[in-house]
Amino acid sequence: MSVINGKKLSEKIAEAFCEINIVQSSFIKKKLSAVVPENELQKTVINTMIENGKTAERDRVPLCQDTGIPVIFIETGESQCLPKEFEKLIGDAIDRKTFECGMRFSIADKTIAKGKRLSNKPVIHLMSGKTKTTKVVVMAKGGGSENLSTLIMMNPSSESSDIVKYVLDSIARVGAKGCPPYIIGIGLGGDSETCLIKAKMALTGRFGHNKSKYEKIISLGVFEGSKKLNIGVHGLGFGPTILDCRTIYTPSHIATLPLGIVFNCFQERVREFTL
Amino acid sequence: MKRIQAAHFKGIINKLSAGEVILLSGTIYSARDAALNLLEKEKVFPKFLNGSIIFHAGPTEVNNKGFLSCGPTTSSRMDRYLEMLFENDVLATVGKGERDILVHKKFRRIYLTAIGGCGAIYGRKITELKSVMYEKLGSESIFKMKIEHFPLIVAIDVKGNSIY
Repeated sequence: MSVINGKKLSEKIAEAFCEINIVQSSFIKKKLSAVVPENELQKTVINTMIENGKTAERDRVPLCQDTGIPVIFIETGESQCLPKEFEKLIGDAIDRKTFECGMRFSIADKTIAKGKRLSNKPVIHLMSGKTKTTKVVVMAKGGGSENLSTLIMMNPSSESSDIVKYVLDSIARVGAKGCPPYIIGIGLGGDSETCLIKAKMALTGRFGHNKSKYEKIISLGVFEGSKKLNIGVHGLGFGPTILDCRTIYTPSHIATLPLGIVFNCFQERVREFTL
Repeated sequence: MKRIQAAHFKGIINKLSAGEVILLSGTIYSARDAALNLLEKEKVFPKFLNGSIIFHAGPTEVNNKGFLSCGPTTSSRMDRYLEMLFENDVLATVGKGERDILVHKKFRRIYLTAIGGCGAIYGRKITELKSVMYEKLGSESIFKMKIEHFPLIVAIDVKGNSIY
């Protein structure tokens, strides 16, 4: 059993968190440049979104002032374990990087009246991997889109069309509150908390989503159905409402079918590395 | 595209229509969840906010090149404070996403949206930034900011017309 170097792990995570906040993903760049504006208002909106990506990279400044809560998935490799106080090491490294990169301290501790009330304390999910190396996925998750998260316990006899309908209704309900066009993560099955973690994993796009026929039918149904929602870019009814839909299914109890839905804003900020 | 000075906003408030794009310059103030919550609890509305435009935003730290990011946050979370703001003569708010239309119609006030997720662009257009109230709240404190040519959309006009 070998212990992962805590300094190396935490600094790599902090570096990734900084970079994803500054450099727009190529997937998003491609999707934004494909939008065809039809009037002056639409042109202003889409051009500002594209120009924002260029400005952020040039000035090394965050794409969005909401640099997000750091959500970190660590899949430890065979015979590898994490050092003691790894959560503190990671949190401290991100906080140091926050000043250096000009990010925002977005995590508030309501129990602290004086002193260090704000930080970028991360949320960390630990899993055991099937390979010799440790896989780390870092996501910067904005608060506006996080507020749109939904948990519903569906009937186990629900058809995939019922699942698709519920997801589409959920997107219609939130409208433009979370900076559309969205990326949708769906966790179906497991239990009430697992489906939301799986939804978040699906949202990162780094954990094998849309693999089975069932997952594909749901994601495709949501993607196609979203074209009729008329939300579009910035909620102005033009361009796509969602850029992608990613589903992960887990078997569940015969009496339940939990459905977790999470949203990402159009500034998808995710990076993966191995140790 | 209309170029508007914040200091002259009151005079043109009735001439703005939902769907118009404007370029706003001048002095505005930021206030979001925590600061508005304190203003409501303390029941003393600061005079400097009378007649102002309020931007629902919380800036980042300044990076080592001297730049920061500062775009809009979701306005609907702060709909509960709108009456308080308008009763104290706040002329308009700037945020993103849908918000309460009826309150705007009642007080004949404007809701402007900045383009969400574009903090780098808006940050570049802030020429001065100073925390002037509730400094302990960090990025959520009330900042006085000088802005130049902020691209904004008139999302709700004084008649209650909305782009959403």
